[in-house]
Amino acid sequence: MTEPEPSGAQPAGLTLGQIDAQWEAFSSEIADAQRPEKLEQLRVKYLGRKSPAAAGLKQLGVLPPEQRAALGKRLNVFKVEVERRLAEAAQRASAATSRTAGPDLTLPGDAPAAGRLHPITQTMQAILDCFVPMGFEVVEGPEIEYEFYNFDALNIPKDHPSREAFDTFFVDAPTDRPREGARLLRSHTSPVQIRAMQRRRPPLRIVVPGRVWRPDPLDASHSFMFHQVEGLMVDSRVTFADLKGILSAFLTRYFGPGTATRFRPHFFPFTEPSAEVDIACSACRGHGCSTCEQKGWIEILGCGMVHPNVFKAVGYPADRVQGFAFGMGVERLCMLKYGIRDIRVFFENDLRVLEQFQ
Amino acid sequence: MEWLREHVPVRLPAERLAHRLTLAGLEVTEIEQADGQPVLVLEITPNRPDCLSMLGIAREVAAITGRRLKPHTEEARPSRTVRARSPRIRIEDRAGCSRYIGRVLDGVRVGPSPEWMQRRLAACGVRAINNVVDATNYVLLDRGQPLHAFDLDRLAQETIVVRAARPNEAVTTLDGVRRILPLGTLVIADAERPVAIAGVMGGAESAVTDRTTRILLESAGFDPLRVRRTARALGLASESSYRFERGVDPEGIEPASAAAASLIGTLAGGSVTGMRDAGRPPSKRTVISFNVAHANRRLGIRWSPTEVRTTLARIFCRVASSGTSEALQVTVPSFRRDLTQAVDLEEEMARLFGYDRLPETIPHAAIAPAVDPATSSRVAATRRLRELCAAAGLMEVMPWALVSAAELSACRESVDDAVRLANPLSQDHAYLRPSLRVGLLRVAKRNLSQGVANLRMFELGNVVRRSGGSIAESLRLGLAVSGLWSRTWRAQAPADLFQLKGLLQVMTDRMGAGAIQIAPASLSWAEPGQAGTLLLDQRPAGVIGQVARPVLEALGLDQPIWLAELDPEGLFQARHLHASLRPPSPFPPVKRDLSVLVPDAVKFSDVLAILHEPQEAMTVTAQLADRYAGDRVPRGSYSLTVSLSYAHAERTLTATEVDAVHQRLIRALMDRLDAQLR
Repeated sequence: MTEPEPSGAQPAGLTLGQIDAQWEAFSSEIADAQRPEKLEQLRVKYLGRKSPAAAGLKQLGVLPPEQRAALGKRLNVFKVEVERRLAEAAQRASAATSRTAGPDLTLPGDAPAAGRLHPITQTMQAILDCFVPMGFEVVEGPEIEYEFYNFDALNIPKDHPSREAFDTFFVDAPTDRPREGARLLRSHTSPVQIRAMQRRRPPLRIVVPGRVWRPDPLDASHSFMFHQVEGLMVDSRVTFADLKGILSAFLTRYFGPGTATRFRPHFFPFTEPSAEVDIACSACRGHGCSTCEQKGWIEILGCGMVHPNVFKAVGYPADRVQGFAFGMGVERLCMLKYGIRDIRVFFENDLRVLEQFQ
Repeated sequence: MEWLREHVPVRLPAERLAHRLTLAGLEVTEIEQADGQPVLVLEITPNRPDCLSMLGIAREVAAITGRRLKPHTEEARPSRTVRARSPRIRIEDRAGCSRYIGRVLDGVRVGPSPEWMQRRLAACGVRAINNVVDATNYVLLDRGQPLHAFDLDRLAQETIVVRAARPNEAVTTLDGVRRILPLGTLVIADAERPVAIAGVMGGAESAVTDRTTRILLESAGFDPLRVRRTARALGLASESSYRFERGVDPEGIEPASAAAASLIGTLAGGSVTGMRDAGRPPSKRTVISFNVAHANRRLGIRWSPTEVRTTLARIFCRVASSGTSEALQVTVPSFRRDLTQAVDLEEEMARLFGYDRLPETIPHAAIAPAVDPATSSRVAATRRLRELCAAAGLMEVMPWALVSAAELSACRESVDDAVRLANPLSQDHAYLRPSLRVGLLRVAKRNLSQGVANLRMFELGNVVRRSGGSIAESLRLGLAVSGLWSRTWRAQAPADLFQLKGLLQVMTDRMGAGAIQIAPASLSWAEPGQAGTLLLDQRPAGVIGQVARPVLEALGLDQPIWLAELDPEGLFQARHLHASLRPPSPFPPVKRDLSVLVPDAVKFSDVLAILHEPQEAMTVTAQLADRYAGDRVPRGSYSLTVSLSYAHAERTLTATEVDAVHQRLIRALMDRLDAQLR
């Protein structure tokens, strides 16, 4: 047995049906042909000297006239159509080539100069954005305060050990308001609560962002300048249970759902009962690691029910109003969120670091 | 833990107990191991001096776990033993000392204390000295009552006087330091001189030594404030002063004295041969009216009176009802000096109940519209300004706002204008910054030295200045640029004065404030001719300039930096109501360019003033397209190309009309500014 030759072996055998088969084969092959070499291969295969079509044309002379006319006509149509499709494909290919010769679209775009807010500003705003929708109004106050607002009105008596937790920078200038005591750099944002309560009657629902100061020598976890956000809600019936509800809503929103929290009794002179709130350490999931000092929990904020002595100091009827207050360190929350280990990063302002906060 | 178990039979493992204590408000910060025994390290808040002893912790453990405290034998013993030779004790300063119990022990043999005691003291960070001193320290740690042992033979006339220090008195304390006593310091004296600083530290001369055989054991109550002031004035703190400052149990003075005497007898031999109890007996216990309904209303819970009674009994309170079942009379134990009001008992209730078991609710509250619209709009404006700065391409920085005198003078800031701290941590951070300049340049230095060569920064923060006798705190916006403002592979723009001015223009425009202008001025910190005062609506609102070379050199900087500092109050008070909208004209404007040569003395604002003079038939808007000064124009002049746009609100202008005005403007420039058409 010899293999059938692709051309001329059975010239009389090229039928109309075979031409149709050739056309089908060509159509499917050209569909995914793009490169010029491939197109040339197809031209040789279907129209070249050794192609079935060329062989068929050569055989036309030996066919009877009625067959010759039909086959000839069909072969001619085949040839014209194949050439047209090849030309189209070639054109498409060259159009694609000329497009890549245009601009290199991988070149970088012209980004406008990009600025960023400081991470402390971003964190502060993120915290405020949790409370403002719950009806808390943002209030601010001075950084240079008087002893009365920073201590006395907050039930932190002079010469009391509870003042020790609030070591304070004093201003080297005699006070201009002797009744309000010496001037100092506020050691917490709580004086703003006092000022707000003096100015307004309850109900009151405020959040206070601000810069505070304590004479702690600089190290990885202490800075003499840092920031707090404080909150206060006062009316005739707000409860400790409400405080828990509001703070849980905040913690869920800020740290995401599923964050385990716990309320732990603590002492603050200006609240009673007082609590500290911890979240489960996200680094070790409560097992204890270096982030949480092996405790498994990380202290996030302090809070409590406003002490009646504080209401008395601002002239509120302590038997008819009640309320809660809370406060948190902004640096601490930011450090937890971004895994920052050194508080000094915030105030050294290396632009290569600041650029990393969206 | 083994020591604790001598007071309360607790069987919980250390970790479990630590957790329970923490959740009850006695935070266990660490669990250490000492000689195979777990040692809990607790953080005791200043309101709980009663927990500064093993007994105090045992009481808490009993309250938390529901176990009973073990009774103590010494307490059962009659306190007034032998009265043969009572010491002479006189309290002259009754305000400073409420009670003073002195026991005399004879036949004491001083030597080292037993190993078990030394081990326990060491676990508490107390150094062992001898069996007598160690016994007093041990009882202090065990019961929280500070004690002191004197060598009785070294007390003149075997007398104790509690009194205020007289002028120029001094005492050499146990640490070997001779201390001049401030007038009025509460002291323990013998017949001649002070022998101890009351509640703080004993004197070296009357201390128990190896040769001591007779001792006077002091157990007393001193005024917290007096002890605190003395300890502060002398810079001397001790285990004693720490406890007295916070307050000791007035009913614990006698049992501690008895316990210590008994312990010394056991360890060093000796027997009590005399005793004197001077001063007042403990005052009555505090009684607090506690209303269950009130507590429930404040905590958002529903406790029954019975529940309150049993819970408060766990912390050794005696509860009686008065009138209704809701109103209770609570007698507080003497060691809980922190419990003075009903709210204090509410906290006790809450912590014993468990904070985690208290309900969690969302408050029902009335909507309170902002009572202080001025404050809230200011807060909003501050936030907007920050966001505008960032959107304009500036990085927000936040340097430490305390600066040094050296930095102030390097930045040409007067030290007299700056407010100094009375107690700075260091000279590096002794002054409140009087401007944002120092901080911005500090940040510039930090970044330039790290190889970050292009700076675009802003800070919005308070500055503090002294003006006359008063101190003014005010907000400032500071901008600083250096290097390249922008750089891409197609173009680059240098940071300079005009970049800074453009930024300020964007801010003021977007904040709805008027136009910002620069009036040339000479500034101490800026290059001459490269500085000015910022005018907002014609009023001074800040400064702008290129930092002077000597300032850069003083700070170790070598790259030009441009700075601006603006008082943003003018931006915050900008118009609140928007001007009504002007619809765009449907009639397209006619554009003409104009190129003129003008003398150097002419300012662009002079040219603009003429071009923007009101015209009858149309409005003219001019925009600077190019400015050239150099070889291609005659010396003493420069060229300006201005794009002019002529428009009419109601119709399309004809070329003839525009040409007439255009020619008139050219003529005006030529006549009034000596300009030449190019």
